[in-house]
Amino acid sequence: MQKDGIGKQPAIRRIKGKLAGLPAISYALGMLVLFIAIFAVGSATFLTRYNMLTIGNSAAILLAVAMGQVFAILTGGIDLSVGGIMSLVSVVLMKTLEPLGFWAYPLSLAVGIAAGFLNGLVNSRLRIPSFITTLGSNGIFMSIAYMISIKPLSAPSSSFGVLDIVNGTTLGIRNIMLLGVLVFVLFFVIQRYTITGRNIMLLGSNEKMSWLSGVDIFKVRTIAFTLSGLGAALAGVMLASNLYSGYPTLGTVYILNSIASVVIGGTAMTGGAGGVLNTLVGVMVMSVINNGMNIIGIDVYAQQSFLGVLVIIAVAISFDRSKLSVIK
Amino acid sequence: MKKRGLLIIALAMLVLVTPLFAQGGKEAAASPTTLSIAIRTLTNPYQANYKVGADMLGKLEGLPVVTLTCEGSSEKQLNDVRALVAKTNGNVVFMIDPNESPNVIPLARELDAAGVYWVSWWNKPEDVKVWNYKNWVSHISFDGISAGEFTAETLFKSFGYEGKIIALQGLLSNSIAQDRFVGLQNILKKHPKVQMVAFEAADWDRTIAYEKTRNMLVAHPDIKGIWAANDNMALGALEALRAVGRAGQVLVTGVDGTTEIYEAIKKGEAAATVYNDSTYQAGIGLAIALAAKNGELDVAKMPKEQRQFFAEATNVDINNVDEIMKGASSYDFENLFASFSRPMN
Amino acid sequence: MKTKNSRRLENLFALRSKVSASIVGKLYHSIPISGQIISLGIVALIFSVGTNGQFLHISNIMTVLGLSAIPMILCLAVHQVIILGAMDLSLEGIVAITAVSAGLLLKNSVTANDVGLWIIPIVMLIGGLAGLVNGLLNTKLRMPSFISTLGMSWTLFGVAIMISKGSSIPLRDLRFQKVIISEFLGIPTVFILAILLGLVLYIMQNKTKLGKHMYAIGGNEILAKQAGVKVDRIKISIFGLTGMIYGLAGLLLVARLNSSAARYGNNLLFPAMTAVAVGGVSLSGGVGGALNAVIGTIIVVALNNGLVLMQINPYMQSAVNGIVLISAVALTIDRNKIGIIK
Repeated sequence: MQKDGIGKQPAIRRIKGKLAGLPAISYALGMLVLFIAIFAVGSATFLTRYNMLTIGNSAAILLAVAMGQVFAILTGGIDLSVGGIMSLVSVVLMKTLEPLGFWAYPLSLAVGIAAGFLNGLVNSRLRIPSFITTLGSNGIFMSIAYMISIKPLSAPSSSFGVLDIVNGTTLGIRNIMLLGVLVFVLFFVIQRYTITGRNIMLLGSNEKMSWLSGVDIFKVRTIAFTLSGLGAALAGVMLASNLYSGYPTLGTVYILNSIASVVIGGTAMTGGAGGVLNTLVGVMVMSVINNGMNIIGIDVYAQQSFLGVLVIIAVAISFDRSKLSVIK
Repeated sequence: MKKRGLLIIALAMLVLVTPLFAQGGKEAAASPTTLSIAIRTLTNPYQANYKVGADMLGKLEGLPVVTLTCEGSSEKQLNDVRALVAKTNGNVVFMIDPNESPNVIPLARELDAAGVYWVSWWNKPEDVKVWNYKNWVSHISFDGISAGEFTAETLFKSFGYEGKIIALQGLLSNSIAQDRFVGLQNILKKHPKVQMVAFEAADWDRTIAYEKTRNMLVAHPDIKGIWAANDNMALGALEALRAVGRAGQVLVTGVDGTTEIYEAIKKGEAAATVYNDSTYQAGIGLAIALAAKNGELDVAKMPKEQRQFFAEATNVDINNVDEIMKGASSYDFENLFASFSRPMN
Repeated sequence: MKTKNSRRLENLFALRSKVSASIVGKLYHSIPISGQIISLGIVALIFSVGTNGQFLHISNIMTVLGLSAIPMILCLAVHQVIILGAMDLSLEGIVAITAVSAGLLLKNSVTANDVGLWIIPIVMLIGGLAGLVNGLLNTKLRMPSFISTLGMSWTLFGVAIMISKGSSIPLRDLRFQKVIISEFLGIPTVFILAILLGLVLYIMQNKTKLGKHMYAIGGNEILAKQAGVKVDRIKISIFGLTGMIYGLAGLLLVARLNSSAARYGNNLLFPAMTAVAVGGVSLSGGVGGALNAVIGTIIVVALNNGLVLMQINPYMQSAVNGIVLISAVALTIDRNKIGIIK
């Protein structure tokens, strides 16, 4: 099994006994519990209801982007345009909120889906690597958002009621968190219980094999990027509603954060292994770290370094090397 | 496989849900009020000076100070503010420089709900009014139009009101960038012999300003001055002029009042800047919010012109640069509305 | 089960091989960067028309070359890692920390330090050490380089902010800026520096065993290992070398503006990646080299220069960049060499 270094684990993962057989996600989950414990000990206010709602709120948005991103990554690709799509969607939502009311939501989502579909087409039909396709289209989506409005758009006060779809509360829980759960269930079902979901996994683990077994690679890849567009669009409308605003740089920080969450959850960047469930855990880890750093009062100058080190540690522990022969 | 998946979901949910029922917050009342500034970044001197002002007031009042930076993410700003409200159980006041102007809406609603007093600087959509919120004490801004007018006027004077200029705008999505540009355009209208032959947006950034200026200088080698919407970009433009051997012949102007631009003014390479004292901004913003929290200011009874107003900034050129460089010997955070210049509608 | 698309593709390939067989085709394929030269030609043609020839004026060409030097050095650095098939996102973090170190160690107006010319080995050492850590994380801890270098970038950027306290540090040592500004035979010295670096890397890639092994790893890491290539050692040294070059670029950025700040590291990564891709270096590894990095950077810088000269709305510029990136790669990518497109 150790031939050619396949499945070789570094010392950090070579724990003897029962632990060694656990799936990658259990490491990520263990880490989540560990971080929660550390922050809870560090500050009595970390585990308050108010703060949990705060974490849940930001996690819901990151979750939506990451749910889309993970499909792009599962095929072995990457989607660097999620930031551009989120920004574009936020601007479209704010622009159409007054004339369309509630219907601005489906319209904005459609824009995001179309953007993802375009990515998929360029990637699969023109045969351009997804890194380049989405790096380029990210700029294009941002520019379109600038064309719609250079200034940040704010929600007209007459539309605050419509925005309560996201901002309101149901049974004491913020709607945005319920939406997050719905988004998770949606993507979970797509991955586990649809043919497309299975084909995406197959494509990522062995492209030639899936081609030979008759899978329409072009179509599957296009669908994966469309799903990524959908995730970004969902995140875009949630974030825009949350902030009562839309502007052309709104989504930028989510590009790398979404990728980091996916990888922390244990999904391999080469595709095939991991998935939606892993990503849920990865997103929780990221959100807990981001919130916890403020709660336990890490010096603001040090926060970015702290985040970087934690991400490295998290991935070093949770990354599943068992199926990989080469780590790039 | 499926069973294990379900088990993991159940575990994850459990971890997430348990704390929802936990109730913290026994420490609250006795601890001192936290002073907090929520700003964009500490990587530029202007924003970094906010921290100096906040620390100064903290020392004066003997209260703890927390700095939150959002690094350009509006959502992080909102979440950090929420996290701190949670940490302090609402025993906190804020001075916030909103990442983007519409962000004041969720901030205002959130802080109203939590009963936390706060003051904002710079960015706010025009149609959002401070007096519609009970905990949003004041919104203050420096007058971007008059700053743009002063620097343009001084720049044009340096070459005798006749010739070509180029301009560098800030991040176009910031209202203050557009206000300053309006100021420049007002002065351009006054002096028809001065022509603006090109302008670019350099996003407040020195490196971008350098590169855009180098490129513009190829198309327009015969310009007489460069107007920039802040010092950072002005300094980038100055180095671009130095690279083509024209520093000192063509003057630049900025806004903000950094040490580097003062030195350039003294050397005769820059014409003017406007000093926006961020140390004072942070200190006075927190002082106003703290006064409201302590009941010294009754927010409901404050006149509208104290809720939204423009503050006075200091125009700097060769005549007063030495005096300004000595710096303020001390700050007065007692007289809350001393910097009032004109009301904001 | 031939679908319409696969037939279309076959026709396309047939057409390609016909073109390849012709004389023009042979010439085209004998030069490794011919596709990129054509891209540059198209860019130059469009802008010369758009600016009434101003774009091709000698003063503008020199401006473009001068401005392309620092991005070129960064692109030359990062493309080395990409040849290995790995990814390096630590560029911004390493540049930030070397820029701040240079600012604090050279004669400046904040500290009393003045290391003079020693700064050159110092920044290369700092960058090299950071690169070494990247390499070790990737090989010894077996972490995907995309994420380990991203973590490194955040970490180092944070450290840079910490030690500079977020402020900018004006320099008092003007020698470095003089080098940046100076010209040699009418050509910006800093551009000559970048080209020299490109030459060294070109020789390394094509004439040394290290270079051969780099491409072997990028092409197929398992085969390379079986053939006895010391994969880990080469990866670590390339990551280290890349870091050293970032350090150099950090110093030049500081010298150019005569002041230093952590944020000088911002907004450098994606332009460098664009240049790598437009130049024809395959992101899946094993294809392309120093020549591609050089021409790729020139195309990207010329493009941005042309957009300013033509007074294109600043906020349309990112769209134009995106379209050019996609179409340049669509036209020049050699799909036969790459195999699976991910």
